[in-house]
Amino acid sequence: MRRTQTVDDTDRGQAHTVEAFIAALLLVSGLLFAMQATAVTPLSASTSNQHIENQQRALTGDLLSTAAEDGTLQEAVLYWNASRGAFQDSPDQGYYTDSGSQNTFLSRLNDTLAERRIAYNVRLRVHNTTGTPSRRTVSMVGMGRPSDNAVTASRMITLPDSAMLTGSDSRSLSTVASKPNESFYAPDADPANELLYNRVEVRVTTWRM
Amino acid sequence: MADVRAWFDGDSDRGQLLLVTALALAVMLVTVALLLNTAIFTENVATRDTTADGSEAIELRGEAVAAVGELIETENRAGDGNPENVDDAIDAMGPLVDRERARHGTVATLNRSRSATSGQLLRWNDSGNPRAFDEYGTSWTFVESLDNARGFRVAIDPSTLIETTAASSDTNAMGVRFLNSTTDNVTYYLYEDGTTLSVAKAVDGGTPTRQCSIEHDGTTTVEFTASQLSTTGAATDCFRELWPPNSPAEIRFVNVGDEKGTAEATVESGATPIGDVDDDSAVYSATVDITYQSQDLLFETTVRVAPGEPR
Repeated sequence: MRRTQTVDDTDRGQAHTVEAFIAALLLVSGLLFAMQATAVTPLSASTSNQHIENQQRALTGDLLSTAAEDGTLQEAVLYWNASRGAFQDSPDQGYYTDSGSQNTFLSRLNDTLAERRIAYNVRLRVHNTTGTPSRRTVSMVGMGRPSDNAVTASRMITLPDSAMLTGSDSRSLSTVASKPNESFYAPDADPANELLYNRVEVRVTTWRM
Repeated sequence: MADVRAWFDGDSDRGQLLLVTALALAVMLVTVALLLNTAIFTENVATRDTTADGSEAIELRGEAVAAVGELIETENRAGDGNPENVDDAIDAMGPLVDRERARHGTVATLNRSRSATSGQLLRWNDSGNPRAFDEYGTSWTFVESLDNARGFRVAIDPSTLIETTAASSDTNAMGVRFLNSTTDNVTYYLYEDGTTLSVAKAVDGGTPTRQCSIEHDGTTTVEFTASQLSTTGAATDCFRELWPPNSPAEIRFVNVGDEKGTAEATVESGATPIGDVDDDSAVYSATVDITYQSQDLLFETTVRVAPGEPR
């Protein structure tokens, strides 16, 4: 009797081992399935979120390219009130804090991004060649702190000395630079040169609200 | 040896084992399929952006061309364009481009390849206002000994144009004739067709065929080098070119009647304007070397920038 009991236990042990493996596989498969089934929100990190980021980057890049091509980007960059030292019609901060249609470029950003629940910051990076060469960053639109999944697209534009401000002060950049009580956010990168004023990098950071 | 298994139902045990093993195999096969799928997807994602550097290099080239073009246009707009000013501005822009790209972890240089070339800005107008084209008769040369030209445009009052059709436009509609050194010629006739301004092309005296038209609203501009028509609030790109393929050496107005308007062209030095055409010195083109270097890519190109030159 004792001996037959031993044989039965050996068979059972093999079955239990395989069952244990199956149970483990089922548990892992269940976990994998549950993870796949979890809802992906616009703010959660995932491959589909990566796709959204790529779309936003392409959309913003195209907007900047179009605006640079038809001159509206330069118009926006020069929409400045020199006597106030702030963007034209901006609140006390000196830059726009909400989506708006103050000029054609901002109007396009408003129509394309804000109306699709995409928030954006527009920052301008300019050269400062006084002393040690460095770059200065100025806000044009600040809608808050970008989320972890924000993307940035940028575009360079070159400003000549004779570029005219498009705000209420219709003066050239070289004229503004020569007046002590007026200011523009970008200094003359090469005062010895009468043609080149500065190069401005327009950076638009977008994220889902 | 005694058959000890006979005491128990050994076959039932085997059946259970087979069932469980079959299940295990099924789950394993599904897992292998899932892993394979994941591996393919991972490879796809990992290799998705390998060309990003290439697009950045092309973007840098486009930005540099736009920037140098803007400098040339600004210099010419001020009048008496001097190539040395453009050269100095390009030299000053080089270090700025270098610093901009360094921030992105790449090396970029913009250098002047050679000195900017001088040219002439030719204008036919009456202190900026429209001027009758028949001042020198019905056929007269605007410019000759032409090598390269860009930004050639004629702005015309459509009400002064002859109303006709494409096929008969060569008999009385005003035309702009491009002649090359062997006197082959291509003529573009401007005429009114109802409410549209149309352009018809005739080669060596052949029958004109319509190239492009626009519903006019006031003064309408025919941009020959850009192959574009524009009027108040509208512009149209012509699918058929408005610049001849015969490398013209002379531009002549023919069949001139009561037409009034303005004409403008930037030509390379050496061309000779005729009559009372305003002739102002200008910058024609600039040539720059552009280099972009990242970890995986080295891009070098030399670009000749002449904004508005025909393709």
